[in-house]
Amino acid sequence: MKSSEEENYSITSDQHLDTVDVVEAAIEALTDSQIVRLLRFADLKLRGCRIFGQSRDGEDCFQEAVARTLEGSRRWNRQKVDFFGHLLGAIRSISDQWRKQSARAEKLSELLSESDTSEKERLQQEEKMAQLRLAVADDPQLGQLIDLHLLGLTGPQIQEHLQICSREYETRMKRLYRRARKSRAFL
Amino acid sequence: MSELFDLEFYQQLAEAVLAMSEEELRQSEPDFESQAQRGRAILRSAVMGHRKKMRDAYSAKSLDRTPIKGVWMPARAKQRSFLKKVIEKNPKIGFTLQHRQFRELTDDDVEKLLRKLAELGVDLQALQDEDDGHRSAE
Repeated sequence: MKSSEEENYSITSDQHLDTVDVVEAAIEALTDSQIVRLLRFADLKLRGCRIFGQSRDGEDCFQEAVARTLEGSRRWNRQKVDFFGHLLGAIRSISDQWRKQSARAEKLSELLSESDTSEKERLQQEEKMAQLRLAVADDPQLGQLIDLHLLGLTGPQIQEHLQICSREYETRMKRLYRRARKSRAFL
Repeated sequence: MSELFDLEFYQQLAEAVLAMSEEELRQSEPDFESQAQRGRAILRSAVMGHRKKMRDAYSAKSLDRTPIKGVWMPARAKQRSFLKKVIEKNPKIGFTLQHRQFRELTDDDVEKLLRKLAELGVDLQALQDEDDGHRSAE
């Protein structure tokens, strides 16, 4: 006869195995387009994210999202959201968490006078932005968009400044992304 | 270039990716297929990694929960060196075990092997007593 502890353990294991099987099936059911969208999204959310010398990118975030789901620290409510929606939420939350850690780590590095790397990264970043500016030289709307971002304006502030609606802003950002990917100079 | 720029610009681009139609996304990604394959492989490997973790945790747990009655076992830190001694004293068993790469055995493997040897009739306690006796005689 099983002890209550053994019974509890086996129930948990069975339920857990069920979750793993369900997640595995959900991964197979994701379309290529959903996977690429999530991967690119995660990559952009984590651009420049570094925690004590270790860079974190979209692939790390992808892996972490599944790991947290399987470990139960990020619950997937199957009644409310499909697996794509669940992963998207997990990626948003993980990238926000890592970004905060990255900002704290950067501050600490500055205090410890280890900011040589961040200075180098800043210069690389500026170089990449210059490349992007060049890649969209034939499209003044996109050039303007980059300049306003460089000035530190947020999305809503840019919309207000340019007197465009959010839909038009989104369209321009999509165009900027496509041009950036196509130029291969950036992103 | 401000920190705010870094944060805001890429966040906005990330949202733009979400808003794209499937066709727009395919057009913007020249290596669309290979990205999809890589992404799926990452997701699968995360599941495989978790399954392995579960298996390891389960075997460690079942090892802890099924002690053989009356079997003496040295402390975890001493088990590896003790297993070596057991093998040396029992050349017949050692013949099989020595072919395995000893260093590759995990701590759990070492304990499992000791338990198996005890099950097969090797008196671990006696070997330890004998060893202690040699040491005190020296």
